[in-house]
Amino acid sequence: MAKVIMTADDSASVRQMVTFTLKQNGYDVVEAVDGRDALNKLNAQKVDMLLTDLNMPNMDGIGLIKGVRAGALNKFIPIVMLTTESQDSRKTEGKAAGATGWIVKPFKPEQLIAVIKKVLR
Amino acid sequence: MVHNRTSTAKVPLKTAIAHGQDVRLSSDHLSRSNTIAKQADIFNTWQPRFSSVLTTLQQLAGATEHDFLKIGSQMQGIYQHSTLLSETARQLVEAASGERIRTLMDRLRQILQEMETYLEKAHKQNLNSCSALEKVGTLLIQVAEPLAGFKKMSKQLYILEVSVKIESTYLGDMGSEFLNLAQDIKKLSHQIKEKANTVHDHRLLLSSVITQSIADIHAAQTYQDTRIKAVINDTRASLSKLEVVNEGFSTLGVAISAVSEENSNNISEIVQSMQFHDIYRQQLEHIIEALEGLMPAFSGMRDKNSLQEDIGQEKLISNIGDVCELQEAQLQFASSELYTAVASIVTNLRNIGTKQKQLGQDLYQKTGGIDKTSNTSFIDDVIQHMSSITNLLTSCASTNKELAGITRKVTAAVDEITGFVADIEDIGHEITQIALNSRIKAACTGTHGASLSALSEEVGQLSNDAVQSADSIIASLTEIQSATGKLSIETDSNEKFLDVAMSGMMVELSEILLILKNVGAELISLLPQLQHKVNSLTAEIEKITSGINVHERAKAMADGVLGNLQQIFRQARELYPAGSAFKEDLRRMAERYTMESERRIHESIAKKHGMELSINQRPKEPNTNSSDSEFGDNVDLF
Repeated sequence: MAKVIMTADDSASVRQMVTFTLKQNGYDVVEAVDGRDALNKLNAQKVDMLLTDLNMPNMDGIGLIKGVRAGALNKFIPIVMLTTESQDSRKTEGKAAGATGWIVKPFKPEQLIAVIKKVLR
Repeated sequence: MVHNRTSTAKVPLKTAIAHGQDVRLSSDHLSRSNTIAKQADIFNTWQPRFSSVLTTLQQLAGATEHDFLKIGSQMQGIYQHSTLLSETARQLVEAASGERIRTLMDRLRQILQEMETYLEKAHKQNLNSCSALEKVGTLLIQVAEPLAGFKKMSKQLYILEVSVKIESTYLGDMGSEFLNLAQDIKKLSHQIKEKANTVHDHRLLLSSVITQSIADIHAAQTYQDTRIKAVINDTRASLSKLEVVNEGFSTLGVAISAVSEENSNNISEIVQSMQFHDIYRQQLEHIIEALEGLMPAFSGMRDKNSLQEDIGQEKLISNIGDVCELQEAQLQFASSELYTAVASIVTNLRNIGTKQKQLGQDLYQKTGGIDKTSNTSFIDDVIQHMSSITNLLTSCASTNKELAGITRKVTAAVDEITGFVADIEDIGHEITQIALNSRIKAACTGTHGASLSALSEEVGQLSNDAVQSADSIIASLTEIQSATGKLSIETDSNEKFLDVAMSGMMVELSEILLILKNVGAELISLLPQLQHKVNSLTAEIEKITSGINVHERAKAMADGVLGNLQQIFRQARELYPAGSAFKEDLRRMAERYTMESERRIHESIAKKHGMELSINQRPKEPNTNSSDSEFGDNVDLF
């Protein structure tokens, strides 16, 4: 059965490319337009992994991670940030909130897939 | 501020003028007054420019998403089509060059070899048969002489019979037995004559059949030899050509894999480039945020026309210059990155089209053996030649069967002749017996029977000759029987062997040719389809890429903004060159940056103004997870 990965990003074009990349590699994808949308969906549906942007309206990536880790259904899933931010302070903040990894855009599709395969192993 | 003529206190110029006071202006004062007026004029031009800049930037931030989503969707379509194309091409190549075809071609070569062997064997057998038949013909000729002797013998017996009759009449009653004897001799000599004639006729017929058969076999053999050599050479040539095409397809198989890999790389580049839309949007947001921070400054500047506040004015103008210079650099960079990213998308899409087009051309070139007008393929040549060989083999088999039939006929004819000759021999024995009896009888009649005795002796001699001639003929016929018997065994054995070998070969050949025919038909059907799809895809890509102009539009809008920003900050720098406050401004503005590229631009502007400014970054913690480097510098796994 295919693994289910959620992608949360307020940019429709980023979601489009992430979804295309994941589906080409055999993953099922759930999209969310911001942190709030993502958290609502994650509280209702089990997924295998979360890819999230950092800067989003309604709820940012850090808030989303904290919400997921506080929840029940997807508490322990790997969460990787997909963001333009590269500051170490932000990475530390993400890690403290419960992120599993950090990818700075622009990423290559093969990088994303390699990271997913590693964290899902 | 001015001095009141009547006092040394300084009062604001406006206040002095309002009170109608007499004021005294120094030259320095006049100069500064002119500068402030000039600044006010310049400033009045900035506000509309600034509003235009902000409006345009806000439009830009939201203007490109639709285009990028469209490009993304089109890219996915192209990717699917090219993947399907590559898969179809791979199937086609596999059909034409896969392990199965190679095995069939090897087997065809073997069958060709077996056919050659069969034909050589059949040829040799035919030659042997012809030699044997020629020998039989020679032996039959040998039989002619003793056969002719029988006829002569028959005549002599007739004369003797008449003589016996005459002499027996002289004996009166005693001669009556001799008359019977003469009758018997007559009867038997007739029989010899008839049998001899029959044998003679059979012999002639047999000789004729043998002569004709030898001629026919030689003619068939000559024709077959010439044709077979030509057809086998042609077939070998066709097979070699097929092998070359097969090899070409194998090479093409490698090329298809390479094209698939390149397509994947192109798509990977496109996916990476597509993300620059989001990066661009965020860069614009940061620029807008920084420029919006100047709006209060513009409000403040409206009131700053008084000399008392010229220091504040200087500060504001410097600040405006600092911000505009920085944001101009950031926008320049962001605009350039977006343009490059979209240009890269176009290039990569076109690369996919070019590669697929090249693949289609290579496929067509490799299948040069396909005649598009007549819908035949190089495989049809092989099939035709193999069919010709099959026909020749069938012809050989017929010749061989014919030969076996002739051999059987000859054997039967010889047996028949042998029978007749044996009869003649028996008759000869009978005449010998009669002659002996008549001699005895002649001796009993005394001297009157002397002539009859002599005649009897003569008859006896002739009958002995007949027996000997018959023996001679039988000996020849026995030799012929031996030869024909041997030939018959050989031709029968060969016929059976060749029948079995041929039928097995033909069945297998039919199966192989059918498979090849189907492959040929598949190629003829698939190739034009593939070519059509390639043409469609390349046309589609060309249409899509020629319609992508988001980067041109964005650049045009950004160039307008850049022009305004450049004018503003240059004018600001002319009024007040970058001062010590710039460093403070730089530090303050650095806080809003989230991207490494923004920080690099910021540092380069600082350096341009002779300032070393390292944007505050905590030293990177040593990466304890050594495997992260395998994913790239932009990846951290915690």
